[in-house]
This record gives sequence, structure tokens and C-alpha cells, in this order.
Amino acid sequence: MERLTFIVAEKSYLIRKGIVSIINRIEKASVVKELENLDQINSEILNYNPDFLVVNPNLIPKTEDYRNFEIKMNLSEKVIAISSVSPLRRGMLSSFREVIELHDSKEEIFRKLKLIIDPEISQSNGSIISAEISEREKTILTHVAKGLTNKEIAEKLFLSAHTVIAHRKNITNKLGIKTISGLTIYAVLNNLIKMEEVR
Amino acid sequence: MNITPDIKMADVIHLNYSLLPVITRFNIDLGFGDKTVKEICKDYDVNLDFFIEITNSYIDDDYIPQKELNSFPVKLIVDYLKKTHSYYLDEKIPELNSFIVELSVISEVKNDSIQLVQNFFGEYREELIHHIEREENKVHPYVLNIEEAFTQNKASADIVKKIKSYSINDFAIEHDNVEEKLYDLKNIIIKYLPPCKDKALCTRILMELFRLEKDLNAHALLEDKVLIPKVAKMEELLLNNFMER
Repeated sequence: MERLTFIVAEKSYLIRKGIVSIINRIEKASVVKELENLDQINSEILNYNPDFLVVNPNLIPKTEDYRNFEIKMNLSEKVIAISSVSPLRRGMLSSFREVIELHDSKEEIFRKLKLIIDPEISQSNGSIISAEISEREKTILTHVAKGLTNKEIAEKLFLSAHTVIAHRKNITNKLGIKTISGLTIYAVLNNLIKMEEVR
Repeated sequence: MNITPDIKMADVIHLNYSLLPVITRFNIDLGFGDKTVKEICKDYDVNLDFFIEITNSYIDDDYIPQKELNSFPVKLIVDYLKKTHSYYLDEKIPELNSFIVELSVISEVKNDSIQLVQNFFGEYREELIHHIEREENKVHPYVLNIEEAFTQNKASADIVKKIKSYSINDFAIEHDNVEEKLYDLKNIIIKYLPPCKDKALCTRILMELFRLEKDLNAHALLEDKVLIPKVAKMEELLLNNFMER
């Protein structure tokens, strides 16, 4: 999963810092920009291209209908509201993807945000995709450890170089080892190749 | 809590002992007595603002600089980077190396996995030395050159030629990631190496690897976020200046 970025727009310093600190505690999520108002919102969205925007709808000028105040992001998919709005304007909250209430507990906010970030993982009760490397990946790892290039491996296994690269990416993600020498050590420790075969 | 000129240097260390190697880089000795940060910096002829910014950003990832780090002279930044380099080469790497040699000494039988780790660390050391040499021999003289031309407002044909043949952006692109092997080494020890006989030794190695990684990250940040943009800006102005003439 790629790193997910957020912009948080909220005037209250206390509320903003609270939300920011919770988001930054979520794995792979981070706040790239904090805003006190929406003056620069559209240029900041262009600048940072965030995955999500957390916004207090009260920042939308009262004189304008919120429907006309254009935020260049999809409200119902990408924008989360912080609810401290007056009862008169509560109706507008339904157009947001999710609403964080001021009285929400830490766990509730975590749950809401996680559900948005990765609906599948949250639904399957946080079960993680297997970290075991597959037989195919083992074969490729063995060749990598023996010092073969991607191209050589592709030819040997009748795969496209692109496929080999994709496999290598998965191997690195699963094992937490990035370099060829590191992968070689793993291969020897797990008896995929012999010490003497190490170049 | 942020470090400010008026707090006592001794308190700075009490609050953040991880700053000890940073203080050494500024050639500051222990035995502060009750002197403040400001007084100590004056005693040791250290740029106070630079010290404040470096130490605060070292201990706090969310630190908001009071003074733009890129307002400091390139020379000051380069001197600090060099001090950090010698900390790695003269202290940390030999220390880690001796730990890793010790690992193979304690396992009586010839042990393949330890041998592999030893080779791996050797490769890492070579990589780091090469990386540092390139910076000190090529990049640092170049950026100092640029700063000199910039402050004297001399956009000579010579300097323009230099910029065109090797600009700071070329360095940024080449700036290889020396952290990768370090990351692997940590994971190999944590996840894959058979349990080590000397637990205390393994713990020490890991602690040192984590500390070194933190320091390297701070070091890279100073290069990538401060030095490179600052020099790129000067290059741009020098080139424009030259065109206009």
C-alpha cells in the first residue's frame, strides 16, 4: 500500500492538532499540509495532490451555499468533515464521505479513518495478506541470489522482464530486504542456495 | 520542548541524550557547568542560530524552523556535513565492525551465516566510504565554488561551464541511497539470522544500527532539503546573470 496523504483544514488549533496527530499515527498515512482557512484550498490541493481532505464545513463562507463553494475534490469520496457545525447546517454533512464528531473517542476516529483508507482490510478484521513468499518467488529469489540479472532470469523462466520486476518487488516487500546482497543472505539462510554458489 | 538560546546546555543533554554526538560535531566539550546554550556557543565560537536549528530538527521531526536553514552559508553546512562524515567513518563504522568481528569470534565452529553478515557489513562499509569520498572530493568543493561566485556576483564563463557539466541536480540524481543496506542488515538480524549466542552483543549491534540510521536520515535531510535547493537556486541566478551580460 502506498503512503496516503491528507490535508487538514480546521481553524481551531486544538482540534486541528488532535486530528493531525491521530492521522499521523495511522500506518502509511500522513498529513502533508495544515490549513486554518480555505482561502488557498484549491491551489494547495493542486500542490500536494492529497488522497484525502479533512475539513471543517464551517470554514465554507456563510454567505455562499456550500454546494456552490467548489472544492476541487470529490466530497462524497475524498473529503471527511469535522463536525462542529451549527444544527442549521447539519444537513450538509451528508454530502461528505465521513463525519468526525467532536465527541468521538480516539478509537472511533481511528475506525472511521481506517475504514476510508482501506475498506477491505478493515472489513476482514485486519487480517494481513500472507507474507510468505510463493514457490515462484522462491525460484526467482534463488536466481537473483546467484547473481543473475532480471533479463537473464526472464529468459530462463520464459517470463517477461516486466513480470520478473513485479515478482522482485513483491519479494522485497514481503521479506523487508531491498538489496541483492541482502536477498542472497536470506537465500543462504533458508537453504535456497548453497554458500559456495554465492558469487 | 524546543531548544532555545537561554536554556542550560546541561539540561539540553538531560532532555535529549541522542544529541551527544551532534554536540561533539560542533567541537563542544562536556563540563558545561550552568552555562546556557548561548554562552557555550560563544565560548566555542559556534554559530548560535545554526546550532539551534540543527539540534531542534535532529530531535523533533515536526520542528518548525525559526530561521530558514537555507539562510546559512554553504560553508557552514558543508563543515557540519564533513564533521558528520568523520563521525561515521572514524567512530561508528569501526565500532560496529568490531562488534561484528566479535560475533564470529564467539561462535566456535565456522559459521556460514555470521560470515555472510560480516561480508555484507564489509560491502556496506565500502559503499558508505565511496559515497562520502565522492561528496567530499567532488560535491563539497563544487558547492563552495558556486557560493563564492555567487557572493562575489561573478558569473564567469568558467563557473557557467562548471554548472553545465555538473550541476547540483546531477548530484541529487546520483545521490544513492546508502540507507538500503543498513535497512537490510537490521532486518536480517531481527528476522532471519539464527538466534545469536551472545544476546547482549546482538542487542548492542541493533541499537547501534538504529542510531546510525537515525543520524544518516538527519544527514540526508540536511543535504536534500537544505543544501541542494539552496545551491540550485544560486546556480539558477548565476546562469541568468551570465545570460544577461
